[in-house]
Amino acid sequence: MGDEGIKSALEIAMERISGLPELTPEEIAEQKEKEFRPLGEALASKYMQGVIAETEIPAEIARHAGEPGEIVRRAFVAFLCRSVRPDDPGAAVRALNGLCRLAGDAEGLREKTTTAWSRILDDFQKRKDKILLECEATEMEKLGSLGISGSALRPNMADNESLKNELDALRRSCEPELEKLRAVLLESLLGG
Amino acid sequence: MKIFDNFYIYLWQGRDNNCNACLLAGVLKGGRHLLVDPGHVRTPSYREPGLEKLAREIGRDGLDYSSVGLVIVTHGHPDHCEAAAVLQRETGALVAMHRADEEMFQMLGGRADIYLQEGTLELANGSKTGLEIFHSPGHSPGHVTIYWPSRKALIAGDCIFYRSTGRTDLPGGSHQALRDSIERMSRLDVECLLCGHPYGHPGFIRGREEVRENFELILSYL
Ligand SMILES: [Zn+2]
Repeated sequence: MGDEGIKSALEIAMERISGLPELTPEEIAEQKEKEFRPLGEALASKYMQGVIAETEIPAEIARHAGEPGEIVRRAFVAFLCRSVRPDDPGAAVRALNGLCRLAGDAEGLREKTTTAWSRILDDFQKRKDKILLECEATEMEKLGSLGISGSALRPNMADNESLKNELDALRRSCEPELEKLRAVLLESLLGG
Repeated sequence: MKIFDNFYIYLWQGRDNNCNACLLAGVLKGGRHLLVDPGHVRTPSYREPGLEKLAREIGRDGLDYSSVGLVIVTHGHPDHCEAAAVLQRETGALVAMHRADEEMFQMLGGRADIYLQEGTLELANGSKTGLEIFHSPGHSPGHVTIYWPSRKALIAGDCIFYRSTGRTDLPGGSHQALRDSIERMSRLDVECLLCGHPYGHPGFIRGREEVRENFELILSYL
């Protein structure tokens, strides 16, 4: 049998590719998004874990130019915006600092967001403490009905269902204010 | 073994290491009991049935161990709290301990329902039983002792034994903290002292003078 009767692997691959339809601009954009978004998220994750310092953020983002750079920046910003949550204040402050650093000299952004954040966190903490006290009191009542009471007791609330539900509801109730804060950040960092 | 009224002690008499336990009968609603330091389920070397033996002895006193409603563990070492995890699963008893020792209990499959801290513990079933909980670290970081002022009884766990003390070389142990804890307890008015182990002595000391002498001897060399 002669060589002409057998197709090489390369020829088969080329035939298959030529048989594929052309990608639409949306599909190309989607592919780029898929390729570069993880880079931005990985960068944000490294920053949040302390692998990258706040001062290094602008340079790290600037390493990606053009359209890929925009995707990386957007993914980085989105990741950090998601980290602005009152149940982990340490992470939220780190995220806010990172975002403000990336915004560079955006006028008054740090001051504006810090004020808004403090208000949200303060409100969250006060309501959280109240919920904790109420749920603990309910558990103490249950213990009381078993004949167990006293100042030496603190119920273990770690797996308490009603506490979990109450805290979930509290987190949800903070979302509108958090969304406003995130919108300010997004406008400053990604806005036209 | 009944000591007085509704106070029972169970002194470990096996070959292997296990702790002394005690029970306050019918002190909770529904006539349920408080059990302190149920010990090992099975002892580690000779595989002696610790919990089974304890349940049998409680039964011999005319009590039902499945009616235990609250278990207090003086600390998180397995020779004191392993069986608490079983009681929690099998009888629905609540387990109370200091937060600082919970990790050890979790390793045995348990989970504290109640964290103990310094303060009062009132048990009620018509009549009231008032106990005081002392945080007494040294042998372990979350060790607690239980004082019953109206009966001048002290459940000392592994803080104090007859003429000796609990060791301080295990994780979280502290010689100075143990000394401070023992010194504090020595100032209580105690006529009845239950130690955590029967080392060379059953581990139950009766009489104000005997208890005082034991404290003095320990503090003289500690
Ligand atoms: Zn111990």
